Amino acid sequence: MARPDLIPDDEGAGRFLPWVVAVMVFFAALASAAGMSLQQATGAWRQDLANTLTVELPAAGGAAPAKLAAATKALRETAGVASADLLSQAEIARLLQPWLGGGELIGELPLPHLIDVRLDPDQPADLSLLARRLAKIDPGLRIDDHQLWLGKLMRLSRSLQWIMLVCLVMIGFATCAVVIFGTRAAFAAHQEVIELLHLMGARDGYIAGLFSWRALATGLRGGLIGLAVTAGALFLLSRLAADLEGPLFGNLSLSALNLVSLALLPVAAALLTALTARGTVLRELSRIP
Amino acid sequence: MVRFENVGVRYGVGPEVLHDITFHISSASFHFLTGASGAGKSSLLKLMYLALRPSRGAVTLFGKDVRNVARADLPAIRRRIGVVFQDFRLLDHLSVFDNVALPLRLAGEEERRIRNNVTELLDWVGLGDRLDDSPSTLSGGEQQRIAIARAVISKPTLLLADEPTGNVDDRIAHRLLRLFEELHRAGTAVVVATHNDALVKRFPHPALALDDGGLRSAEPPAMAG
Ligand SMILES: Nc1ncnc2c1ncn2[C@@H]1O[C@H](COP(=O)(O)OP(=O)(O)O)[C@@H](O)[C@H]1O
Ligand SMILES: [Mg+2]
Repeated sequence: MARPDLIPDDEGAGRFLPWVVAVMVFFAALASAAGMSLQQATGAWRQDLANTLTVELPAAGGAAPAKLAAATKALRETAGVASADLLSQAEIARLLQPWLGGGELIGELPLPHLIDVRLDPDQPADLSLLARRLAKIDPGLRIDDHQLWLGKLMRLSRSLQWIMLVCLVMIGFATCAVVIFGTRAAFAAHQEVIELLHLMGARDGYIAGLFSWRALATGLRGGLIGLAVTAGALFLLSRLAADLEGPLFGNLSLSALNLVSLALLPVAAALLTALTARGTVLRELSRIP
Repeated sequence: MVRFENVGVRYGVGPEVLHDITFHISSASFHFLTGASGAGKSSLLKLMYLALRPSRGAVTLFGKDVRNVARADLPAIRRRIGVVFQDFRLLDHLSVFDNVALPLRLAGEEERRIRNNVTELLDWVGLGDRLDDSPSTLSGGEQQRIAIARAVISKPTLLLADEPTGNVDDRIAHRLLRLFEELHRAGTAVVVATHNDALVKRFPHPALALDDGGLRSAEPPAMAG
């Protein structure tokens, strides 16, 4: 014979709780997914850019192709440089296309000349020697090692990750507040039953357990609903991001570990709900002598 | 078993509803608790089943001053006390069986023994065919028998009954008291609160007589007037 529910499972106060948890888990999962994919992406960006340089000769310089050829040659002769390739104007136009569009504009703009340099990851290049050699060819030649841009990007990404973390914590607090409120209401609604159990010698932990087990189930149910909605939303977002194919968005993805931690959110929500309910009931019980 | 010393009780900031209560109840005794309505009978019982704490004086249960008992140790004491509440306090969302099984479940008794003991006791009080019904579908007298069954199912050391004969006619009241006497003979200390003096006179047990919050006497039946 199944053990009876000592506290009646009223559909009143408890009914909205799974949906609140579902919404909370949805928001928490979105914030986590954003934070984790940013972290993933910054790592990838750093990797991509660590071994590359761009040498630039401004278009306004009226550069002779000879200077560019000399620069390319000097680069190739420097220790630590794996390759150095002069980009054609057509290639530069293609690179700029996502930002400027494919129209007339690109044709009319004075485009700079760029040399794409790959460094040998196993043999660090002497960048100051490189700079001196290039300066001898033309003082207008500029080395861009992307550090400035990368630094800004990292700062932005890190701030965004912090904001996501703060969001997560606030969502956690909000969930706790809702659970405390709901548990207090349930406690008050069933005061007579609780008092009777108490007088019959039920331990506080036993009575709290009647609430926390139910809260665990409620939290898990709501969490799974929230996770299902999140999965749908992330799938949709990933389809949209794939359409963009930009150099930035291509890196926005989640690792298997990230996905596992998202899948654990309902469990975390259920535990948070159960422990909060338990704490609330224990607190209320301590008022009964 | 139960010892009160100069106990006073007030609800909140109100006047003392019980004052200077001193008495002693030994194990395996049978006492009536008499007094007019409002005299403080229920309050006195509440002190004994730990629903109420004295505002002054000492209450000793099973040799322990309840002021000195840690909260974690109170449940064990409460489980030794069976209570028949004046208003029964049956749980309507549970079946008759589950209501009576409650004390055994709280004590962690195994299901098979619970089933046997509860069925047997409910048969004995004449409700063996109502196991699965809700108490709310039963008559007042039947509910009372369930309340009593629940109070005695775990063979308490101390049984407290608050006006258990309030809702029934004299004949049934008699039978209930016979039931309590039977428990008493089996070793349970019994305290029955009642304002039915006629009933008290028919049973040869000492009475604690409350009058306006004070204890008049613990009279032996021979002197009861
Ligand atoms: N919870 C309470 N709060 C305030 N006063 C109470 C409460 N319970 C009982 N009283 C008062 O205490 C007195 C004794 O009541 P009670 O113990 O119920 O007496 P009895 O059971 O003999 O009728 C009464 O004056 C009653 O109004
Ligand atoms: Mg009373």
